[in-house]
Amino acid sequence: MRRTWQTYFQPTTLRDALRLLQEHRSQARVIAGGTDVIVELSRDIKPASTLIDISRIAELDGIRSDDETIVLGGLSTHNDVISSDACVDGAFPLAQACLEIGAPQLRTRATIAGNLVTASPANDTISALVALDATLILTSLRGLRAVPTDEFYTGFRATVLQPDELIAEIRIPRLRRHQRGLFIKLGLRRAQAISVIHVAIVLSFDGAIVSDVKIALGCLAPTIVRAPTAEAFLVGKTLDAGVCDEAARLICESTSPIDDIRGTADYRLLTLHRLTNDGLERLARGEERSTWPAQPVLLDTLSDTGHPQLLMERDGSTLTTIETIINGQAMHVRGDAPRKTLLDLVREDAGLTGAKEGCAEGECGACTVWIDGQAVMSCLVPAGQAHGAAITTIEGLAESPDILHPLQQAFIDRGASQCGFCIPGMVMAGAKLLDERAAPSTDEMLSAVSGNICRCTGYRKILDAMVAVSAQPAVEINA
Amino acid sequence: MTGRRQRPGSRPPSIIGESRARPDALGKVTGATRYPADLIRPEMLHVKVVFSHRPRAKLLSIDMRETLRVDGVVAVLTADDVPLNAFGLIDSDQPVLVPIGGEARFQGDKIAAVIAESPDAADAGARALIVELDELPPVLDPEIAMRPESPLVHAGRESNVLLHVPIRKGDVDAALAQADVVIEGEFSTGWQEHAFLQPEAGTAWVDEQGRLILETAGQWLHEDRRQIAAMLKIQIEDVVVRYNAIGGAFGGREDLSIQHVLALAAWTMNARFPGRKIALQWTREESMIGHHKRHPMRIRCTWGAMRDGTITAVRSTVIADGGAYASTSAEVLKCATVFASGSYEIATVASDGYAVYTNNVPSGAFRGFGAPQAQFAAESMVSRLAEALGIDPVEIRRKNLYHEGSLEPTQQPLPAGVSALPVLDAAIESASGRLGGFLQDTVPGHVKRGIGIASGIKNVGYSFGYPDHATATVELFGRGEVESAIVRIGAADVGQGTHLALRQIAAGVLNLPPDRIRMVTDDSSEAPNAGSASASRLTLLAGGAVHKAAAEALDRYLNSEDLHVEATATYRAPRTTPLDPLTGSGVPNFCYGYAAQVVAVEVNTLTGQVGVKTIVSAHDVGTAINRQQVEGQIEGCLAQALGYTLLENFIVTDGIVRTPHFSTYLLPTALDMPIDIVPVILELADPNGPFGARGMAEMPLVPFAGALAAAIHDATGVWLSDLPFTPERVLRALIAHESTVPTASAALLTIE
Repeated sequence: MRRTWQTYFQPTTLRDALRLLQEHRSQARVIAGGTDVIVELSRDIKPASTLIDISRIAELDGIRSDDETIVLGGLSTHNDVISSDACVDGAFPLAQACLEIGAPQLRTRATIAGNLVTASPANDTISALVALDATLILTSLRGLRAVPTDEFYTGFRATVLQPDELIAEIRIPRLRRHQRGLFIKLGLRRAQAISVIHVAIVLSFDGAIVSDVKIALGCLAPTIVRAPTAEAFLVGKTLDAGVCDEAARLICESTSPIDDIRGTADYRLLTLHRLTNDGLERLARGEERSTWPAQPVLLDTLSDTGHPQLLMERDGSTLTTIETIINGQAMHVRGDAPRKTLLDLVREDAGLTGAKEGCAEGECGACTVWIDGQAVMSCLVPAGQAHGAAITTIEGLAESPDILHPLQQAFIDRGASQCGFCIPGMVMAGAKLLDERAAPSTDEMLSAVSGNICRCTGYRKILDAMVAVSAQPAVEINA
Repeated sequence: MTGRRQRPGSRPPSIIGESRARPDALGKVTGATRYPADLIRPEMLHVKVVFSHRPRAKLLSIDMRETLRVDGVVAVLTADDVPLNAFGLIDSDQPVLVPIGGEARFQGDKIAAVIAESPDAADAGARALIVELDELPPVLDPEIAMRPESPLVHAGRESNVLLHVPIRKGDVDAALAQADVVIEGEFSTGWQEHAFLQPEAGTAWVDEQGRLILETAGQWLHEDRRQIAAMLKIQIEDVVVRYNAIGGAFGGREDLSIQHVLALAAWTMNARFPGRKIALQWTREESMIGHHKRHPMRIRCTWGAMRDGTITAVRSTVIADGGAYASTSAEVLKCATVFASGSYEIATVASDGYAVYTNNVPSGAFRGFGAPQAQFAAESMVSRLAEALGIDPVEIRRKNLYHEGSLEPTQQPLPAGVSALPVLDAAIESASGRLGGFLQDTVPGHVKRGIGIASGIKNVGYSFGYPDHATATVELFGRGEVESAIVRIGAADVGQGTHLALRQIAAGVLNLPPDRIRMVTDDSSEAPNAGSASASRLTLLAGGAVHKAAAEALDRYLNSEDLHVEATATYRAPRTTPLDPLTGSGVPNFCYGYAAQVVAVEVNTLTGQVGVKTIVSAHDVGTAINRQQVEGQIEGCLAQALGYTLLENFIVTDGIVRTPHFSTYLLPTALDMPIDIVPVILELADPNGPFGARGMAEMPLVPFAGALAAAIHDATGVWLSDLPFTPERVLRALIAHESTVPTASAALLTIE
């Protein structure tokens, strides 16, 4: 990819990060997961000459919770939410939204805070946080301030976040026993789809009577919006069929959708009515959690992140040398490496061309590699995040040149490779799933590779190969 | 004649049909395989193409002063640098670079090529180029473009109609007047993007012998070489085209995209930078706007039938948006027009096809080559006729499908080996067992289930009088018996596995273990011309050439005492003829592949989303040379068919592509494909193919949209006529239909 940034900082304390932010202000962008920032930079959206990588700031890491509140650190990823019992229990619409976003290799990296800052009306987690009544804690050298999520947005892709601020925390009041919520998404395909519309609903009940309502709508206005008339209407009602339908009608009245390439305004309104009606009925029946997977696919088997063989020289916060381990070999890369993506680092500096660039926007998965045990789309990871980390590429998957990984052998035996361009990424995603669980179900296998596009095989023989290696009993194959 | 040496074994070659693993798979699963972009290194010179980004504009001037000041930029190539500034697969109607005073005719027309010491410098140089364009009103709708008053896309032509193909068989008017049922239909189909996973890339240089070497990916080494030599006005022997691993093609690498620009850059830069390699790599976005697409078509038709189900008349008009340049539009259109009446013997046919120039992205070859569009309409009409007549959709097909000796719309008998009925029966038999309970299962109230069927036909090999042929050279080595062989054939393995199939054919003839055979396939100076990887033709044509050359080499070997013999042989396909310009009569093709499909779907009536649950896809492949690879072709083609029918909505507004990324042009993921895909492989030997094989890799795309339309109708009572069946289109149709009662399920399951 074209080099779009000149300078790369990787502070290790929040204070250093905020200092850099204050110094560089609008010349700089904060980067964590990178999944939005790198795509935007490549398209000259919000260009920046400086990146401030906050991924090494321990203070921003982690999810903590008590009986009242769930607190997501600014670095919390979609995977962190999905795999957090507290979030699934106490912030269910957010967990649902996180699971429906992108592909596993994006969910390992993409942060909730990043989603909030991108501020697209199509960003799924924003609606969930609005419906959950979450509060954002913004921090700068000037101090902290708390902003309710639905006051964070001032217009299309615009927020109250100041150039010297970043999101330190997201505070979510935990769903109580009398509260139920769900997230509804309409996409144009079954994975890796940007929303046509999405809806988050949180209802509080007093017995069978609705006592409080929060409804947030995405892709239906320039920002995420609430549905105040429907919310007011529902209070005091029992969710019978007529009430659900009327509420759905009122929800439609609070929107101003537009036509775009994903759908017309009319289609958005039609489906909004039908899906919210259906969603309210499911909430009334208490069915909203019925499709939640017992163990969502993560493609993340976090390995040891301490790598004593790396010296980790530092020149303040500026990253000028990348020290990394690629397929077991320590590498020190100088020059313009910090201006690259991880994919370009691997291909150009390490000379490992197995990982491919198919789309440069995290949509095809051909660039999948592992970074400290996580499967990632390396086209959207800044190379600086390899600093101090261990990378595994397809070239390092086999135990030795003579002993292939069992999945590689199965791909050969089952005829799972045709043109082969997607195969390195596909194998890295599939092999990570097998690291994560020995006996994945068919659904889990399909989820694991749902971010890897293959244009040749129709995926059938890829599935056959994964089945052959897993400890699952074989599914019927082309009988 | 009795040979002096012993002929090796006479048992039937067990290698034919064997699901042998692909030799190229090891490199692909370990990442060792090199695709064109994998060979690009920083120390090369790098090229960036500057596009017009306008659907129609006159190029007034190019100011390159700022570009040349960019650090690292070494040159800017413009039309002035092109020796012969016109190229094309059939008509040379496309400029390599638009000349000053000339017209850019689509968004992806190339204005200049910036050459620099690094990709970033080339990119910065391209951004700094000042291009002055005078925008002209674009011609975007093919039907408006056909009108006499429309501006001409190519000045100097009589009209924007690139080709009109009339086909006349019998008296359609009389037959329609006598028909018991007459129905009309109007269909539209969209563009489809090949979306091969590997965007265009390559490297080029001039070697010590002064030859231009081009390493890239394509579908036909020798045709790329021909066009590049013509553009540079040099001898074809001075151009060497080599293919690295090819990351998919599907017709999308049939036209030149970057090859000629790269060749031009290497040829012109050699004086300043002798021998230095030059690299060019397109981003996905550049690939999306830069190469041709599947033709959008509008098809209006009237079909008539008698009460007993005999289809008696088809009248149809097919209008194809050819886009800005000819590409293969003429051939695609001829196929679409011939297939406008599907795979049915119908006494009277009147079809008119028009390929039209517009300022949209050029249309050209894409797996199926006009057959999917035409037969989406034809199969939908047959299913609608069945409904109108109250006849089972399988029965109406059985009654009318082609059989041995049937006359085509072009009034000549079909080539021998007609298997339309056996594939339909095989599909029904397989589906009946599988789908017995499908319509009875309990599903949520907003989900409707349905089953649909369709048939399909597609030519194998080149058509309409082109003398299709392929040449191979086989060398044999051994003391007393053949120990090893070299097969030389310039046939592109675009991922379809042709190199393994050709190796198995050679192994079958020579009775030699396949790993004793070396394949030389990817260098135009080392391997003879096999023709393109297209038209499902390589197994039959290139396989025929390998079979023949291997047999001749073996004969030579057995009749000599040499340790090394060599034979070169050309396989020539049976003769075809051009279509008569007034009636379309003639022999369009020498071989057809026949297909039938049964598709089971679920329609979400809240959203219009369609989920495909089962696909049974039956094909007569003559002989499966490698059964696993044949299955792989069927399964993969079905994913493209599913994408084409449901997901892949290539949106162009005012001549500008609005879906140039994978985030906006949606391909099927693993979760969008059904697990239950059932390839049904019939092996009814082809009279001409090597070991009886015939081509098959395009056929699964042909019936699919029609089968899916029928399945959605079965589920909901709605007939869809516009591809793709986006959720929005489905939901709108459902709402329009809501007042009427859904029809009963297809009678398929009543068949034993």
